[in-house]
Amino acid sequence: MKKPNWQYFSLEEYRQRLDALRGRMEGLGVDAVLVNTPENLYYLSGYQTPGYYWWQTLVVPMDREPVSVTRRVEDSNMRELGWVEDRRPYEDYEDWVEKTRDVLVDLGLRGKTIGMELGSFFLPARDYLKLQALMPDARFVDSTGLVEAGRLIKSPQEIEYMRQAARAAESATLAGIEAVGLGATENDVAAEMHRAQIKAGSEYTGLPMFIASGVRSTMTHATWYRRPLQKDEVVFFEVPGCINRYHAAMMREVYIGDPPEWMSRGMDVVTDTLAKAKEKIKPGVVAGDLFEEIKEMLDSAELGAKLERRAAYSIGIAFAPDWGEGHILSIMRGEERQLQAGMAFHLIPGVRVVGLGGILCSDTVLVTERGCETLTGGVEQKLFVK
Amino acid sequence: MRKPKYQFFSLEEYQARLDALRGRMEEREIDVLLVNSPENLYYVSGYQTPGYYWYQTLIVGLDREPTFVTRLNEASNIEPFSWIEDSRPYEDHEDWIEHTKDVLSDLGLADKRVGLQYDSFFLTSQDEKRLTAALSDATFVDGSGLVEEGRMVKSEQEIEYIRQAARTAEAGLRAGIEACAVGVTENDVAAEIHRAQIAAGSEYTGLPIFIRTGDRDLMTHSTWYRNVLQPGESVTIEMPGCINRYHAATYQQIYLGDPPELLLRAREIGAEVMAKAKSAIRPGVPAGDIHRLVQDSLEEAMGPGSKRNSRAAYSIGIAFAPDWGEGHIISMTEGESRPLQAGMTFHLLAGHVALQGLDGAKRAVNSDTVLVTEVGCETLTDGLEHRLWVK
Repeated sequence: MKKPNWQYFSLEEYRQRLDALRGRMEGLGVDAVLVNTPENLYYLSGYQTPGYYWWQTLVVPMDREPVSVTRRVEDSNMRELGWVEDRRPYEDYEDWVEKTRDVLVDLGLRGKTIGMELGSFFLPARDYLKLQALMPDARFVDSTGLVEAGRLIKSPQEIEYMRQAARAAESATLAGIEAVGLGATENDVAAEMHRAQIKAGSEYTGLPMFIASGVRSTMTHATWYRRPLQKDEVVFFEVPGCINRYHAAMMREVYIGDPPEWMSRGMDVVTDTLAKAKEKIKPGVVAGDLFEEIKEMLDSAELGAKLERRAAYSIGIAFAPDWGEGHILSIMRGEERQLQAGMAFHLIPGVRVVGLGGILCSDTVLVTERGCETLTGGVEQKLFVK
Repeated sequence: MRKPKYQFFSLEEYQARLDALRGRMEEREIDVLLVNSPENLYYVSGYQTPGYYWYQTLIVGLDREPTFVTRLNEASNIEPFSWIEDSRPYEDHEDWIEHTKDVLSDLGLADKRVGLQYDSFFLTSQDEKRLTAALSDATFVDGSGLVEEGRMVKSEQEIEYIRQAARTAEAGLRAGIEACAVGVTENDVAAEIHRAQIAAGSEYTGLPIFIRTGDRDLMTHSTWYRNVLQPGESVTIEMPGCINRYHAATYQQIYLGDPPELLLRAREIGAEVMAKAKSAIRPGVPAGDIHRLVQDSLEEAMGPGSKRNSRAAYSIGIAFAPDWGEGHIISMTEGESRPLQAGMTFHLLAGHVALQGLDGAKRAVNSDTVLVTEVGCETLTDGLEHRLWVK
């Protein structure tokens, strides 16, 4: 391990992450794993780039230091940001799968058991099938989730970065509330929010900010689209902040004019559900049980729509196209795993009423030894009125 | 075909895209194509969402209207954006592969020749394995690139959106040049750039804006990271804009203090190489020839150490993260023998010159988004002159 020029975690923390991964690799019975997912690469090595639309993999054998195989121009980032010393990049015009095969053979893995992240977006099926064909003596197994298991519980340093990310999200939210007004477009509001978020220290985020007015707030993941804001409409914000790739996110809403009953009562129900859900969160609670309780609170209020998706998702390291890590753990129907101290969630109660608008309010929360701590509490949980 | 509420292309254009795609499917003897890439989904149907980290597919058969399978939560984007009416979403807790299988069976397509996008990031290896196992009567064929082939040559309307995107990129650049000063942070500069780009109309882009100072310019794709701008440093900004998901991108460079001779000289060479490349671009020229011309020109002017270590240009158009380019469709790179065609658009990086022996400036940068026309090459990012902005 070498000390990188830009270092966000101690070498001890990286060593612990690697040792724990190897423990899980032993459990799976693999001699090596290939790590392709940008979040997992960052978690293990410190390496990061937005350029993961080119093949990149970290080969982690059981018995020797890891080897990185990235595009030549991206190798500069492993040199500066990562602790991994053995780097074997490929050129743009080279075949990266053949290159990876050569590295694996060189490491003595020709006839071994190799784990690959078959659930990763950044291991296309074409490349997986090709590597398998190029190495007929190797045994390939699915190692999806092996690195993610370590990401589920956050360390004090990780939580610290999420707290800083929460400050950036709050700054943007406050700027957005300020910028909402008649005569402004969604883009005018988005412009002020981005400015405030980035000035507060934020990096680029895994998803865009979501800013949608009027009935567009009923379109999931809709964001700013040059629409002029109108009187008697809701403006929906879902805002992330990011520090050293760790995210926090929050939803707030602003109403232009006198909020009608569906909106004001709806927001009371949603903020009340948010507060009650936080009271219930503590280590040992079964995630699926909590989901049913949240769903019942929202659905029984008859707001004109029901909760039709998960109630929370794990959040931490992120690169596009997601700022969450709900595939690691979500508070959703059927999830039997229990909450543990050190988990972080974006807790998102709310409904979208077709023809009217979204009614949503959310926070990023941390599961503590005793209960639940709100990380994005710097902006009040209520309907803002302009 | 139904007229969607938010419509960015005529129904005739969508019909033409679909007809051409079906023609290519027939050539590859594909009865039904499953489209998973967000760019391809948008191109064929108009549907868009940033939520493509959940499985979603458009089932395109040869003789009936296509069918959407998306997350229930995302299905809310189909009616406003798409001309397609048949939507069969799955719920968060459901198995989307089982669901896809049921839909294909229901459509009578479960035993046909099914094309999959094996090269797509958004059809995972896991899902590919499960899908091919679940549909044991189907024959699976590689449908990679079939939709992309239609995206390679842009229509008038597509080019118009790229032009508009260029204006927003330029607005961002002007604000960035203005904001650069010794003592401010990269984030201060990034904040003003985002504000101006978005106020000028831009949407979220496929990659972040790249803002690099000093030594960090050597780190490919690194971007703003709260560093303080220092005297004697160069700032490079690689700037996208996006309108209706169509992107344009261009670079500008700022120097804080008296620029060194070597940097000025390198920028001149960069401008010359850029001009040479543009004058060589025209329909019929193999894309790889432009790359070679750039490499030879750089070597001639600055020696072998100054050659590019990556492609000279990549195709640009519709984009969703994690890329704003579409270089996998076509790039000007070593060995690319396909000829340029009128209507292709590229981000041309021919004006970059690597520098050695300078602190604070690691390269001279100069790039444009260009259109291949019937007679040659048109610069689309022509609203802001290329020069070293001295602050």
